[in-house]
Amino acid sequence: MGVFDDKKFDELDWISQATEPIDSKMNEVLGLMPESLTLDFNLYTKMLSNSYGLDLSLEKAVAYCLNEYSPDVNLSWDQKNVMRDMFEFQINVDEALILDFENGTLSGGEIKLVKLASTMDEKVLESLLGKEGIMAVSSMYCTQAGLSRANEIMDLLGNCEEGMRTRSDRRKRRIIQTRLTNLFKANEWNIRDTELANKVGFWIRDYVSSGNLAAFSNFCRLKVMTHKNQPIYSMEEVV
Amino acid sequence: MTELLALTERLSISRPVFRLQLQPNGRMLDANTSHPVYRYRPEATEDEILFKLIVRRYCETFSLDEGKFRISKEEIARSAMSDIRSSVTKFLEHNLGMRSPKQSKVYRWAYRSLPNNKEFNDVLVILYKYMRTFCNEDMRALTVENKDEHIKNTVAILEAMQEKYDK
Repeated sequence: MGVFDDKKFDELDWISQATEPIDSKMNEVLGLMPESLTLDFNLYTKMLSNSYGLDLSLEKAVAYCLNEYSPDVNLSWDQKNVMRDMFEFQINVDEALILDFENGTLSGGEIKLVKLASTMDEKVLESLLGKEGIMAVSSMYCTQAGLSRANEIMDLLGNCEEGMRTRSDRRKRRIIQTRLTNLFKANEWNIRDTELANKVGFWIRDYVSSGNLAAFSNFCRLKVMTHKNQPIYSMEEVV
Repeated sequence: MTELLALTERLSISRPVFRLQLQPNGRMLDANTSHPVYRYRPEATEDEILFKLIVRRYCETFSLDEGKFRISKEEIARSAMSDIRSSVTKFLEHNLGMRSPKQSKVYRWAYRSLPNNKEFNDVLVILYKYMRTFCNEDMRALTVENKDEHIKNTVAILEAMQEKYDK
């Protein structure tokens, strides 16, 4: 195995290699969630934990499920929003749904939290590519040396001439973010793994802010891999 | 204040039973805590002047931890007392009969340095009850018999109170 080989891609079956689906932990997490959950009084109040009111939003219900069925996975705000859209409340009302704290009952019908699909839509996953990393670039700070490191990054990213000319670290940051956004939007590097795509922004931040050479090495390796004109699912990282 | 606190003992709370509704967008189950199914609202009769103030300031909040509504009787009594205290300046503004009542000594005392202790507040509650025998809720004198004498009496009482407590 070479340094620039993509193990994950090599292990895919031929159909997957041909169709190039986006790989994401979101699909794994979604798979762990129940198909349908009937809410009784106890579950309703558990889902409300840490709330001030009694209104139960889809966000709270899904956050409860994530915590319960996939406690080890930490999703970003955008990922949670996407996950929320995979669920809906379905109610079956006899007369009126009554939440009774005196008797500890939820009566008058049935409330269900229902999963709408078992896999994420490709377009949705595409929109998540690199997003977390791009956000991380916002917290990148540039010292004098950092400014030239940012130029090196922009040189590798390409199409950042304006950013390389400016001395303003804020503008450099913004131009890197814009470039990354366009790059993932147009799928220029053909990265097909959301977690790997997210790492790009973190590597850039770590290298520019603190001169982390491991991060720069990873970024360069990924850039080299893009020249193979193959979908990228994984790479051997330097830690 | 003592009398107001005693009146708050008559207050009760709503039962914690709520009607759930799914919002049209299907993203929120709405349990309107300000409109429980069995809602308690205190009521005061026309002649219960102090209890009316208590009713106006009645406020219950739902505590999810305790699973029931709760009220702060002390807070309600304090708010009602604050209404009584502000009624003094209102009374002077409307009934002092001067061109600019706010320039008067008694008004300035009532506005700026009205004492705030248990003894004084208890006296103020008694005075408020007296003022309400010839004034409406906005502290404007009604057209009752001996209206002017009542106003003079009240102003004299306030001036005496100022003399006694403003030391």
